[in-house]
Amino acid sequence: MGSKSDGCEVIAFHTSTGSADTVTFSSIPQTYQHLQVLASISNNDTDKEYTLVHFNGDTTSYGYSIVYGDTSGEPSVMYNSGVAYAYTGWHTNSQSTDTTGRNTYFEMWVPDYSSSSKLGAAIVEFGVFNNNNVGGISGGFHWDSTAAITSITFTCGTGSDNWYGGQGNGYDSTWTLYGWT
Amino acid sequence: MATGDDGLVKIASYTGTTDIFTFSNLSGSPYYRGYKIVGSIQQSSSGTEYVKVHFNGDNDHHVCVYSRTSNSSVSHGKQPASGSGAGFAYIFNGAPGTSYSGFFTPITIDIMGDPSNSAATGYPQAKWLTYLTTSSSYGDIVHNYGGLAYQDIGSLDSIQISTGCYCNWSSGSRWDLYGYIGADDGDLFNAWG
Repeated sequence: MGSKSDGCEVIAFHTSTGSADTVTFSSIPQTYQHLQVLASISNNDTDKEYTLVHFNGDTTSYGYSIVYGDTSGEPSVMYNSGVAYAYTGWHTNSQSTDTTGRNTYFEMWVPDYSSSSKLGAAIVEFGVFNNNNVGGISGGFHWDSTAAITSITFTCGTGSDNWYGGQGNGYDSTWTLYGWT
Repeated sequence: MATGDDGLVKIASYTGTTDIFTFSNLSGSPYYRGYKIVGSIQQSSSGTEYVKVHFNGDNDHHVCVYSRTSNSSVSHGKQPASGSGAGFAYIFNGAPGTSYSGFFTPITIDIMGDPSNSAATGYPQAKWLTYLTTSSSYGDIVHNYGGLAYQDIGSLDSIQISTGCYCNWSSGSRWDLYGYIGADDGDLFNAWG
């Protein structure tokens, strides 16, 4: 547990070791009103990868809507429902010359996460750098369950990539979980 | 009004169901450089609705633009400071109704522009982001984001939020208002009392 603040507190912090494709905040205290996650992330590959989110380890039913834009100037939408993960856009890679060090800075809100009568729902917004383009992404997702949210897992795509880390430098992927009172 | 020296304080909450409510007495000390509102909301009728925001109880001087997705399509809109739709800062499709039991829209609203400082020289401004589904089978996935400016220089004393249809909020809806502690007129200690 972090230091006390009137408005919010740090619940937990994680730095990637580079050897895992998932990061989980578990046993989340049910004493806050809302959750916020701020992350600086990239993968260990040479191309962008999906950022997937699961609540309580469940892989049964999520819906999402994510709008993204790049230098083409026109927004596009990724959306789906009844799928096994919450897709929140993608993050950059760490191994291309033009993207090294240009982590994706990710923000996610989970309002009233401890409710046992509401479907889980979250909104996200961030920017991403890929192939020398910068894009903005925003959107949200829901989880078709009213269970209180006690854990959040961030997965690095659907392939074999891991979260970049273990280098001891400022490029290591990090996640901070805040509880808003 | 809460006070503190932690940079961020919780100011107030609204958990009632009345269609119109107001966070008031915001101007003056303690001074905030910005506000964040975090909500989990639903309206007590079927269909989707606007969320409306008025600063200082003013029915004019608001202008907003927004983008809205509906499945793969993206549309844009605006509300002017005068003429049809004047005075409302629409947050499009903010609250699904009771047809979608259990689904509460997550929403954040950030209010900027040194809002509680009477000496501020800029318009109070805001941006928002929401997400919802408009079908009980999740056949229509929507999210909405945008920004507004209140075209009247001065301190922000109140934020009124209402459903677009003036039907009530569903039980379980909640809005929480937080303030980023700042300073007033160069007096760095004023904000801490």
